[in-house]
Amino acid sequence: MTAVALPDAPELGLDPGWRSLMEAAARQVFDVGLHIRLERSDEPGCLPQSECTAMVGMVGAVCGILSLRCSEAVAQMLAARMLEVPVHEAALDADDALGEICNMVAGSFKTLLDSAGDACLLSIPMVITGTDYCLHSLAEGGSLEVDFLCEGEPLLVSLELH
Amino acid sequence: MKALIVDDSSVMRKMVERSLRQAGVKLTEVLEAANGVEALSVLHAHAVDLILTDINMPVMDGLELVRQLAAGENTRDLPVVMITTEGSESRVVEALSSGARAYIRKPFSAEEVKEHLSPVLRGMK
Repeated sequence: MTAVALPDAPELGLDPGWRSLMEAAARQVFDVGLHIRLERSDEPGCLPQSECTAMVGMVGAVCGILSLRCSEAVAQMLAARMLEVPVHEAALDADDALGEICNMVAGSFKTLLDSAGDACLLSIPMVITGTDYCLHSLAEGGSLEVDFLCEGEPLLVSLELH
Repeated sequence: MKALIVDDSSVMRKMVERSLRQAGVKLTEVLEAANGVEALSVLHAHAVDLILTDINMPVMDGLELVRQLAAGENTRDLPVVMITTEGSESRVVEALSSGARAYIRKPFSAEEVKEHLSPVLRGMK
């Protein structure tokens, strides 16, 4: 196991201005990595029952979880785009792809945070899939959400601070 | 050219291989590993010309892998390119000072791969 030194920096509170950084980070990842133009959604929180949630933990100056939620169908479509294969061939790669996309969004967000991002480490991504689960946030530091439409389907990026 | 691609995401390993081919790198064989320990194991059994590695991986991360390669008599001259999500200056400096020859930030295009890889490939000739 590799020993990693935690950043020695004061923990920051939630900054509403980070929402625009989250939006910019997600747009950049989808544009460059997947050639998909994300649109902002007018219907916040409108996600299907069957969905995937990818999460990346942040520790240091920003301490919380950045997550990305979408339907399983969208996750498969994203995997197919990344691999340049038909959607039906990408089903087994959907979780891996969504985790990696979340990882890239978290990395881009961290970079956009400048010095605060420097004093911050990212965890390995984790993905939850299913049709009947609830996420109960234990975040005490507040949360920010950005609702998108990805090829017309809902996709939610959120940041919850511990 | 034989390349070793190290990333805990199998999707990303395939994307890196495709980008290398699109960038014009003539690959004769591509080996894969999911973390630094697996990569060292692959290198015990196979000779490669180029290593492309993620940083943030379980078991052994990419920075530790680069340090171990730099300390090994048979591996210290192997060109290593970091491909990672983190683009902060401190992380780039850390990677390059550990021994990586180049640093490519995810998400990347084939053009970016070519731009960052060209000096590394020229140095191998």
